[in-house]
Amino acid sequence: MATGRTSTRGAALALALVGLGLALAPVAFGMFQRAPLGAEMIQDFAPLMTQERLAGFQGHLAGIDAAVQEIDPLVEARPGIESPAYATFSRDWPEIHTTMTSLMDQVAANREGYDAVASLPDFRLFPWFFAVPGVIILLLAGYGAVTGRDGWWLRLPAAALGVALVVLPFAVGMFDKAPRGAQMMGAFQTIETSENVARIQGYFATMAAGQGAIRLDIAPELARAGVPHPATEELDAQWIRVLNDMTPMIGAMSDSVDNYQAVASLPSFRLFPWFFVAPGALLVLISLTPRKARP
Amino acid sequence: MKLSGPSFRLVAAGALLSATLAGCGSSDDGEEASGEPLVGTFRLDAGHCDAKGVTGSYFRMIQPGGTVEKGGYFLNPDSKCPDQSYSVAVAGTDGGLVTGTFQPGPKAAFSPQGDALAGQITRPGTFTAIKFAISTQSVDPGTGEELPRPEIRNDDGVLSGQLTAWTAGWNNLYFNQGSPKPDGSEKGLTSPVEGTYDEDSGHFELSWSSTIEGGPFDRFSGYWHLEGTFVAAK
Repeated sequence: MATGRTSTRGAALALALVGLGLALAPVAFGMFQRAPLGAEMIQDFAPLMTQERLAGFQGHLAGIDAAVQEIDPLVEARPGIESPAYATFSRDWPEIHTTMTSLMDQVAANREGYDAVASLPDFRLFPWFFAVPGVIILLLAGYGAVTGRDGWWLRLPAAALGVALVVLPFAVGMFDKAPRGAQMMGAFQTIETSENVARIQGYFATMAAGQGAIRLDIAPELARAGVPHPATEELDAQWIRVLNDMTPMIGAMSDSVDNYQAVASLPSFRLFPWFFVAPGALLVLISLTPRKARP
Repeated sequence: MKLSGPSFRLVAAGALLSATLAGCGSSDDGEEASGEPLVGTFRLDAGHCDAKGVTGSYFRMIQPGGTVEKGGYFLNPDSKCPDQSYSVAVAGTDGGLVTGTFQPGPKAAFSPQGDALAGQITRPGTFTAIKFAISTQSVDPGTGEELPRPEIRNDDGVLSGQLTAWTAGWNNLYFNQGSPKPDGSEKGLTSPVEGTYDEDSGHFELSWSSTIEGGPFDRFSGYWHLEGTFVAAK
């Protein structure tokens, strides 16, 4: 009798181990804390990561650059038109322009990666995808292991949950989307840092002061002197829109630094589909192993 | 349900304890709050600036890593001051800050362009081409936390208090600029509200700084200086 019970315990023990692993994985990786932060980050960037908005940011930078390129020679040719605030801005603009354009290029290049991640199931659900089946299997298999019982009541749910875990990443396109998400996370590594956000905040202050000097000092002087300055006029006309667009972007970048760090400390997105498939396949395989007949 | 003798005593003792604890926790009666509350309107003198400096009510924005005394400051190109780190304030429709109540501004707080419309405390001023305005909100627009009514106390000519609900609006965004912050802390450069009060003339000066948490101006700080005449509520 004892030998028979031991022989039926093998599958239950194996299932219990897989269940335990599934249940503990989100705890071990801190997913219950980090996944909601990832969801928050995705949400914060949602209004900004459209093709139209990203093209708009690039357009704004190009518009400012066109105004600076227009004004610099005009100011140089007319010593009467001067503004210390503009001089500072004009001096700093090449660095700001290069950095901001490169940053926006990086963000735009990863828009599809963002879309891929955003189209995955809500990040908040991810820990539960592991914990719920893990706990169910652990309870069932634990009972089987302790009592030495084995039967359809254990193997059927284990197999069903195993199939569900295997199917889920295919159903939501995780094999395609997760690597693109991983690429986006890699690209954002240099963007989502406190230092970089502080630098961009500083650029914003310089740009605001510079545009103010253009709008309130330079442009009126050029108009009085009858000097055409269409790019500058266009910038002044668009400036409110520039602020309306860029301020939330800086806000989202600033608010997402901690959230990004939390998500980045999770295992690579590339591995995520396998976190479902591997334990799912194990559950199915163990469930399908033939039961040993009791003597 | 009728309470028996021991149960009644227990409930009564509990109620007494609750009342005692509530009293201890109140900001009105604790050791930190001293002096008498000044309930009424802190009517603002308009800010004025020239080459000599600034008088009246004004605001400065300090960049991350800066200090209230030395900056670096965010220069407001729309400021008419020679030193554009100063943005002067002009009293709004209520004449200034009213304590003991909220001055939340209109329901539609922003124009489509992002200009803030609240005008009870101060007239909306321009900050980098977009109007900014001050209100005191009962609920923090950023966190949804309930905020206390503005309170200023006078202790023999020395003012203190809390202006946690002091909120700036700009470009469709809100920035808590109160002290202490909504969570009760004094993070970053946030400093207590303090000032002076002349009971004979009613002249007051109040100042504090408050560091922004989150959003595009995360870790920037505002320094606020209000000056004018206190008029007690009737």
